[in-house]
Amino acid sequence: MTSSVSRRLAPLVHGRVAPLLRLSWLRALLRLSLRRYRLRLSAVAAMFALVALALIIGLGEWRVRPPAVDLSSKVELVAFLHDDLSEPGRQALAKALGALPGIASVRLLSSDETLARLRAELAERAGMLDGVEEGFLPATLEVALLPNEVGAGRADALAWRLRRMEGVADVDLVRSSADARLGAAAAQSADFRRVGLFLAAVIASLALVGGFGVIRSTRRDALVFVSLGFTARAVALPIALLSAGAAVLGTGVAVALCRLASVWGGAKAHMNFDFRWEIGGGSNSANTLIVGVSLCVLGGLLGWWGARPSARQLETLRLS
Amino acid sequence: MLRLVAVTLRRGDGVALDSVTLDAHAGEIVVVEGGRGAGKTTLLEVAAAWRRPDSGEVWLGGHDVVGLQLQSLPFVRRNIGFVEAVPRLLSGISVLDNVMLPLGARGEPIAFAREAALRALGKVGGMGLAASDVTTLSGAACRLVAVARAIAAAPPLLLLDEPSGSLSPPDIGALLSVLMGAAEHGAAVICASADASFVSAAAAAGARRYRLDNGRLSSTSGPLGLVGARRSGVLALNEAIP
Repeated sequence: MTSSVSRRLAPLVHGRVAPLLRLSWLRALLRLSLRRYRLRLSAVAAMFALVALALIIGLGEWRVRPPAVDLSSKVELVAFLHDDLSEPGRQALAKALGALPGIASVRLLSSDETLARLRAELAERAGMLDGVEEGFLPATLEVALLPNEVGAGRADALAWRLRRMEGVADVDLVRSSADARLGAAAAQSADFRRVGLFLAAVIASLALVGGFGVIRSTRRDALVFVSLGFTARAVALPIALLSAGAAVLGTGVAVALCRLASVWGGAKAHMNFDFRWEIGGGSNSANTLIVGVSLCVLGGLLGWWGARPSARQLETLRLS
Repeated sequence: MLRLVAVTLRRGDGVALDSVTLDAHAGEIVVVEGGRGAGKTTLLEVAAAWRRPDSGEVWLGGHDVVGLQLQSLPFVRRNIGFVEAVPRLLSGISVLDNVMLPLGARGEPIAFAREAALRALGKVGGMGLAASDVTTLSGAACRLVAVARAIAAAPPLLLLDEPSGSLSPPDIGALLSVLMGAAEHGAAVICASADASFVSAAAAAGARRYRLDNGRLSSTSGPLGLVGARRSGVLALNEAIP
């Protein structure tokens, strides 16, 4: 009898390092915690979705027009197309041009529309075009640039690049008006971006604090586990893993929402919404992975520190 | 098994435990009786390594618990089954999962833990509750489940605060049987109760009695020990319980 009791007391050794948790019990506790905290974990996932959206606003390049500036009718570049370029070729060229960075919109004008546009610009002197036959002027592409530094700084480079594209006969850079308007628009865009960054930082901070509060509410249960003999680390580990999972889920939802918005925006004529991470030199997917892993680690740390009872709570098993 | 030596714990301006000395040996049941605010719960919390006393010594299995580092306390606690006056069970998971948890802390294999938990539930007559959610249980059922959780890992020290609370007389009889069974297997059992009928029944079953008043402990019966009590034939539990 005595030896049996002694065996049961065997773990009562000063300073012995606690084994964290058996793997099978870690799985069991993950399952129990998932069942018990599903609402709280959903809230954490939602909060990390907010954090990820805030990061997308803060660290991503937005290809979206600021609401106060409408550049859809402001043309900075006019590309004159070769006469022998077929209609599908023109459409393909317009599409390829629209995909270039720094370009807000591309509008394809047929030969007749170009002539009509010229008549309108000449106004009372339009009579000089009387007798001009159809197809006299080539089809053109009217290009508007994005109102940010990229668009303004690349107007020349874009014109040069455009001239070298197959099917383009010449490019007219509407320089004077473009620079002035783009400068003003860029300043407005920078203000808009600064406000966005500030709001993003506030939202991300609030979401992280909220997530920490939600996880911290599990401490009441943590004390029950500790009273049964679990170590503080063993109590915090499942919550940390689940919290990391919730962070990944939230980030995934946020990125998926942005992708959906991008697809939806691409289907709209005047909508040009997309985001691109402005971190590192890697691809967009790699940067998304970096952000996802970072938020996963952050979620894990949040769970670890939020669920782990304090030293005083460990000693008294009381919630402060 | 458990030895408290001159344990003193202050609470605000007063004294919750005043130089309390208590021994509980393996295989015996000790009952501490006293009114509300006498310090019974505090005494059990000190014995369970939930609180450090201001002075005095707490020895468990030959180890001074007061001198242990904070990180070592889980190893102490996993050797103690503690049923609180208001048991803290985890809702949202099944009764069986609740009862299995102490075995998880000890690192027992899951299958063994399930088997031990079912056996413990069977001992308290709660086998039918295994799949239930804690939130659906009555107060008495919660207490029985808490007892099952406390005995599931067969700890060498069992502490029960107001064990008869919300239990019916037959349930109290069953509980005493469970406690005697634990004592027979070498556990030291300490019950703190304000219920005179429970104290009498436990004493009739061979428990050693102490009285706690304003933090001061006094003995009201000499040590008899469960084994001695059983040999003397005084164990007639169901008759002893009103």
